[in-house]
Amino acid sequence: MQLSKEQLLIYKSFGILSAVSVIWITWNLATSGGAPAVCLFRHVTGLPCPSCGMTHSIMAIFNFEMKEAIHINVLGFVAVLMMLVVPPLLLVDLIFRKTYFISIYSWSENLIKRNLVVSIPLILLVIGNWIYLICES
Amino acid sequence: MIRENLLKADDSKFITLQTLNLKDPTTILIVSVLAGNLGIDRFLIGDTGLGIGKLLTCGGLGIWAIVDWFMIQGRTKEVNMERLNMMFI
Repeated sequence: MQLSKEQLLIYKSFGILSAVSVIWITWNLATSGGAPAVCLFRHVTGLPCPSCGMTHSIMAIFNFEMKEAIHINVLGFVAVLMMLVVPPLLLVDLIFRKTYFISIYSWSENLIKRNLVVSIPLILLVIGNWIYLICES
Repeated sequence: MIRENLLKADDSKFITLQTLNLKDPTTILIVSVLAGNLGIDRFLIGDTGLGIGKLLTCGGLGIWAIVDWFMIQGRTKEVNMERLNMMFI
């Protein structure tokens, strides 16, 4: 199946993102969280962004410390789920020349865009989590 | 091409054209500079999936956010064009 320019851009973006995420988490797991904090938002405003503490949260999940992970950043669970699903799907598509990833991506994007039952809890989760992070800091 | 399509279109398309949700590339660029790390620019132009990716990775460790400062205007124009074309079909 021929991919459009937009679909190719999505593949490239998520491919680079997955590779960087895997390297980043592996580096942090190897050095026990030794990587520097890179959040531009935090450096500029002094406040945490909605995804601040994500690395430590993911590391806590990999070490089966679920309470700690929820305490640091609850979005870590979403990130772990994406890290477990996206890179293998991209690899399968790359090796077998399939389009499973783009099909699932389009389906989930449409679901979030059109279904308020799905999008509103997600928005509330992100905003609620951000308020919690700001209060904690 | 837009002009030709507009000339060809009948009057019934006029209302649809007025209600079309087109985005201003400059406004999106300002949003990208101010809140690009949170993926707000991508959410605004309708790229929800990429927006979530950007939000969860803190703007792709800040690098994607900076790359988007240069790419977002072109992408906004593409999205506007796609919406216009959808209307003419």
